[in-house]
Amino acid sequence: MVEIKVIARNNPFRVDRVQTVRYRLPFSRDHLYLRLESLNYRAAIVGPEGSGKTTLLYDIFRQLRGAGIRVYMLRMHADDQFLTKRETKALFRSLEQDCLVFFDGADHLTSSLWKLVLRESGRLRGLIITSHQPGLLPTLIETETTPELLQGIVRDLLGSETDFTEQEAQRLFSACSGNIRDALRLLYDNFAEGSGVVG
Amino acid sequence: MAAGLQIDLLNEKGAYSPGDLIEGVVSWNLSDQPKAVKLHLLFFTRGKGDQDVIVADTIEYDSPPAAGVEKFTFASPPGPYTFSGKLISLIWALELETVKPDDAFRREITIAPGAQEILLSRISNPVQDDDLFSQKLPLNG
Repeated sequence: MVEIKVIARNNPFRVDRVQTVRYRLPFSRDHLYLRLESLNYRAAIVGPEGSGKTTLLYDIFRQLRGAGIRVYMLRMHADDQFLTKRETKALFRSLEQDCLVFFDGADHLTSSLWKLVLRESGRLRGLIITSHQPGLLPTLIETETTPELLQGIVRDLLGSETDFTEQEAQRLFSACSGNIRDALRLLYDNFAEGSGVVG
Repeated sequence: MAAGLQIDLLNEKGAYSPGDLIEGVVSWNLSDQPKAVKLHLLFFTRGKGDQDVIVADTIEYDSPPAAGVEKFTFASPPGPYTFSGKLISLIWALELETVKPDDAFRREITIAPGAQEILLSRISNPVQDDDLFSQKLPLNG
């Protein structure tokens, strides 16, 4: 048997910690909500795989739910079978008019289902989605990934004294094709095995 | 930590075997009278994957004042045990929650045989599926 060097609860890259630092806003949180309001709560969080779109969507979801707004979350992955047109229509019509719908992965819908979602959500308070590409709804924010962002996140998680260098950030960023979620998962494994950030 | 909320345990280590009594005192001191005060016995996960939270038991204090002190007792549930491995930790906790004003304070405890967290180790050379099937079982008769 081999001892695990860092157990899950002590791993600095465990999900509950990572989710607090997974994206960077280019403006203040107040500005984000003002922008959302100005877009009449019909907006998209746009960005590549692993850039923190879903984390941000859930943060907004929790924030607005906490403010007493009626919210509903839909989630779709690339391999998921979504509802049929009839089921989609029934679902949207079952929601109260003041309901704000969040849709993670809206770009995985077929174009005809997306049109239906758009039409059916028209009578609701709003629709906020995540998408890899712009164009489905006005863009609320674009989440980007860079080696500098990865290095900043790692420093946030390990403290500024960490020896995670710019070169290591660049190397890991490239190895994970710019997917910061994957990079952080790799670092989780490295830590669990006791090999630190360099791996 | 929520400044006005506290959970004190009779067993200061907060480590229990299944079936033990979890006894203690909760106290709160808020600016306004809360709508509700609840004490949850729950477990949650930490690690590489999604987090789960399961509430096993709840005590709700009726018509709570702005500041209060209450004794509590839970029976330590038979499982799941507190454990940690590479991918996941399962952690038991007591959570004192106030509603309007909303606040919460969580204190982690251990529930496992011998009142010790179970630490999972990794098998260095896991048996391959092929190896399992290559072991011939004796035929009957």
